[in-house]
Order: sequence, then structure tokens, then C-alpha cells
Amino acid sequence: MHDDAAEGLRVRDLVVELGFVTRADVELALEVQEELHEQGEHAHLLDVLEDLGLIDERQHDQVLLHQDMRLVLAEIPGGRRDHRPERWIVAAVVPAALIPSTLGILAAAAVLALGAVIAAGSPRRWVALGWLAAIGVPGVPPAAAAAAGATGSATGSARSRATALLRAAALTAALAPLPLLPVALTPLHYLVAAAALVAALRRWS
Amino acid sequence: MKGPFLRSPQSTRGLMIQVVAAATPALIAAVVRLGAPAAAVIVSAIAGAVAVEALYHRRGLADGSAVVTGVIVALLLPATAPPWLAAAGGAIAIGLGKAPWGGLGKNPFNPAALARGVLMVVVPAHLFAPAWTWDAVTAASPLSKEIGATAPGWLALAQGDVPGCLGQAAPWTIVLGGVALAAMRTIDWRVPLAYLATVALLAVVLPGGDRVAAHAPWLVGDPLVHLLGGGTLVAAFFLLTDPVTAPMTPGARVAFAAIAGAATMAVRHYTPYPDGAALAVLLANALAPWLDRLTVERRVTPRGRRAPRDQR
Amino acid sequence: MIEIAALDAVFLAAAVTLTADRRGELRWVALVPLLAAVAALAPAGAYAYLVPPVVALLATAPPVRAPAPALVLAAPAYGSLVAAVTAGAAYLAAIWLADGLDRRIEQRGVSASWRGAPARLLVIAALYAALQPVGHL
Repeated sequence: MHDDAAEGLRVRDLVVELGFVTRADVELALEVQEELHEQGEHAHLLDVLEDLGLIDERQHDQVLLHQDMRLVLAEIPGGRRDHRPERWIVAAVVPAALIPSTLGILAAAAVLALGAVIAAGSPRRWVALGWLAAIGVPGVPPAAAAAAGATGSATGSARSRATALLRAAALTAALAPLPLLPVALTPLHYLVAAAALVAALRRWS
Repeated sequence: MKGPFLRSPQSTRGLMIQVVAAATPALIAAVVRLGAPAAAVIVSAIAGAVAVEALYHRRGLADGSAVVTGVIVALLLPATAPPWLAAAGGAIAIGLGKAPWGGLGKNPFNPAALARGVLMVVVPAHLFAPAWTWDAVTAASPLSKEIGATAPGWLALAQGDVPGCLGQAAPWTIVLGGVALAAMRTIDWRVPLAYLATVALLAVVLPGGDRVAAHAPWLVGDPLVHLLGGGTLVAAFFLLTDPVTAPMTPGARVAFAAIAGAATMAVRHYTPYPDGAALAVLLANALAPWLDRLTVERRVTPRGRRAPRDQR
Repeated sequence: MIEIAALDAVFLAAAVTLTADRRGELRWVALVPLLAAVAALAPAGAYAYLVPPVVALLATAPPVRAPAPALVLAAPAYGSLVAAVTAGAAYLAAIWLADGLDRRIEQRGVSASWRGAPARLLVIAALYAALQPVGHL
């Protein structure tokens, strides 16, 4: 689902610019990526390059780091450029859909905000794994961990992950009064609301 | 102006007029039999659909597709539905079922079936009421597996003297409209035939679940209850025949209708839901791309070779 | 564990799968309900409080790029092993159906603001409505 062009910088250009591979290597990797896509597997270009043995893990991380740095430089202060709002919107509705109490949702929002601190300096997937220790407490942590995973596991810069988690925390907090409504909300409500919100944000931006 | 996926030489507006004309006897019969509440449901559903269509695509109003959607939504709702619910149904059909996808000809799910499915999740009490007031008598739908449901007579079913949706008020009018559409080749006759045949066959051979055995044993072995009850006929002639959400080849369309028939019967026999016709249509819609891949791509792909990219 | 119906968890998991990096790992995600059900059957005794974190750890370790759907699927209390296997299968079925519809939607040219994630979420919402009776089978 990842769209490098949408992130503002194309990995395919950066990896050549850094001298790790040639254009021909990139073309080959893109073909393999396309094949995988047709088989239903959506692999990131860098993962394909690594699987083909054209770059190693260190170079993989270097490309992401360079991308992060350039994104930070390019980004408008305040992180107003948001090309993938679905990351934090979906992450925000997960705790709201899973937790049936206002206090619980607020607690999940706090956990998500704390997750933003961890996300800022950690590689992908650690956001979710970081919350495993707290999962024994009923209710909030699994939902928050799932939500954090939704944003944290997505490819992108550390800064964009942290920003996404903060936005998710804010939206989750805004959803906290929902359990007080006299109507029963189902996942259908949350899914449709998330879809509409993503579409509205895209149109607005 | 033609819808991009309506594979008919006729104009979209002409097709819509035909569908509304085919549904008109059923609408009139519902109003005559059920009175003002049925009229309120019809008007509200159409108003809801047209209002949302006007917000999204003014152009879409001219082809009449919003009116058709509103009419079909109304046929799937009970006369006991409050007007706001019917308006919400029409609005959901267009607002979720059609507009986000880019308008007529692009939606993956039948909008009216989607509206019914969403309402079943969001306000189940209004659609699953075990007892509905009908001709001043309170009774339960014969398809409901609840205490209080009673076995319907065949004559009562044929005359529509059982609680249910507006489309059930006079089943013969739905059949009349459907046959007229098939005769004009507006719809593919194989689709309703395959759907109704599957429902009838499974009604005879499928054993009932625990709930059916306890509260509605008449649902087992009696095809007429299933053919004339619930939204079966509306689904057969007005939902499954939507060319936008059905597969492309005749063979795939027959399989599509048979899958919907099997799903309808599975819901009626093995779940507490009184009717699964609209849900079965949604499930069949979801399988339509797969049926297309099975049939269309097999035709265009030589054995042992991959189809060119533009054919996938 | 939090109280959520298995069918609700299946479709929420399908929604957060939007963010999963490696779609090939979803078969592991589909095994998570079975893992959770087996763990719930284990006589943990005084160590019962350790079961949820261990389940979460085991759930997220193999599908390292898809922890969110794995955690959501680990949340419900599955009534039986059959219910857990059904939930895993329903999850894969929902993803498969949504993928098929995605292709059709792309071919037809959905409007720009609804393309991709919003369309996918709406498809999952529609499937959620359509497959409600599955929860009662």
C-alpha cells in the first residue's frame, strides 16, 4: 500500500543517487515487485532489492534514513503534509471500537501519545512490540498496542510515524465521549467514519 | 448518456424508466394493501436517495437512477418502518453505495442491498421486530424464527397476507414486473431463474437448524414460503439483475445467482435472521470479480500462458 | 482480554491490515485466533495474568510487519477451537474478497479522494454488513 512518490521522495531515485545500485537493478527490482503484487504480495522496493541481494540491510536502513532526513527538511513545520491520513485515522478508531468506556478510550489515547515518543527513534514494528509488557492489564493496552502497530508498522520516516501517532492520540481522545451516546456503535460505524474522514482530509489537502 | 458498465444499447434514462415502470405495480399494490404507511416509506426512500444524489452528482438526477434506487430500497423495507428510516435507507444507498465509487456504473455493491444491510446492522430493532402490525392484527413474519411466528397458508403468501417488506405485499406484481423486464431484455432472465431455482431446491433438500426446528418447522421442505416470503422476489428481479454489480458472462451470472440463492437459504435455515436475501446479494456482489476472473480470463488466456497485463 | 465479538475483531483486523507491510505474512495472522483459543484453554493457574502478554508476544512475533491485525485478532475470547479457526478463515476470506473488489474498483476509476484506503474501508464495512449472519452459524 506504500506509495513512495506520495511520501515526497522516490526510493527508486534515492537508492541510485546514493550509489548502491544501478538504474537497471532498480528496473529489475520493480519488475519483481510487480510480479509479487500480481500474486497478492505487496513488498516494498527496498525489501525486494534486499531479497535480490542488490543491497544489504545497512544500505536499506541508510536509504530510509536519507529519505527521513530529506522529508524532515522538506516538511512544512507542524507536519501539515500528510499523504497517508489512513494510518492514524484507522489507528485512532481501533481503540474506540474495541474499548467500551470513555475512561478506557482516554487511557488508550494517552498510551498512543506516549507511543509517539517511542516511535520517534525506533524502527518499524517496535511501536507495537513495545506495549507487549503492558498487555496483561485488561482493556486498554491491547487496543492501544494494535493502534500503535497500525501506525508504527507502516513504512515511513520516524518523524512521520511519531506525528501519525500523536494525531491518532488526539483523534482517539476526541472519540472518548462516544460510549456515552444512547446508540450502540458497531465496527461498521467506525469503518465508514474512518473512510469518510480519510476522503475528506484528502480533498481538503 | 450511458452508464459506463451498462451493456445495453438503450440509454440509461430509458433503462431506468423501464425499471420504475416494472416496479410500479408492486408500489401501487403496496399502497393499496398497506395504506398511508407504505406510501410514506416509498416517498421517504425516494426523497432520501434523490437528496443525496443532488448533493453528490447533480447530473445523476437526470438519468433517474436515484429514483430507481429509492424505489428498490422501499420495496425491501417493511411498511412499519418510520419515514426517517426509509429516508435514511435511500440516503445510505446513494451516499455509501453509489456516490463514493464515482456514480452510476462504478459501484461494486448493489446500493439498495447495501442500504438494507447497513440498516440491519445499525437499527436492527426496526427490521427484526418479531411482531408487526398487519391489517390491524399483530403477527410475526413467517420467516422469523421467533415465538409467535405462525405457519402461513399458500394462498395467504400468494396474496401477500403475511407481514414483511413492501415487495411482499403483492408477490405477483413483482413477478409481473420482472417478467416484463426479461421480455424487454432489460434484465438477463437466467439470473432470476437460477436464483429462484436454487432457493426452491435448497428449501426442499436442506435440513433446518435448531431454531427452525423449534420455532418455524414450516420453513423446511416448503419452497413457496421461501419463494414468496421475505425479499426473495425483489432480490431475484431487481437486485441480482443489476448489470453493474453482476459478473459479465452468462455462465458467471448463473453461478452468481446460485451463490446468492444458497446464501439466502443458509441465512434463513441456520441463523436467527428472518431474511437474508439482501445480504446474500451483497455476498454475491463481493464474489462477482472472482467469478469474472474465473470465466473471462480463462477465455482470453491461452493454456499455459499468462494473459497480457491489459487483460487482467 | 477485552470483550469484543469475534466477527467484529475480524473486520477491524481487516481494516488495520491496510497498514501491514508484508501481505505474505497474513497467513500467520490468521493463525492468531487459534493461538489465543489454545492459550485460553491452558490451565495457567496462578500465572493466568501472564497468558495475555504471552499470547500477544507469540501473535506479533511471526508476522513482524503486521502486528496490528494480529493483536486485534488476539483480543476476543473465542468460545471454541472451531470458532477460532472460523475467525481466522473469515479474516483471510475478508481480505481475499476485498482484494478482488479492489481490482474491480481500480478498473472503474473511483474518484481521487476515495481511491485506495477509503474505498478499501468502505468495502470492508459492506462485507461486515453482508457477513453478519456468519457470526450466528
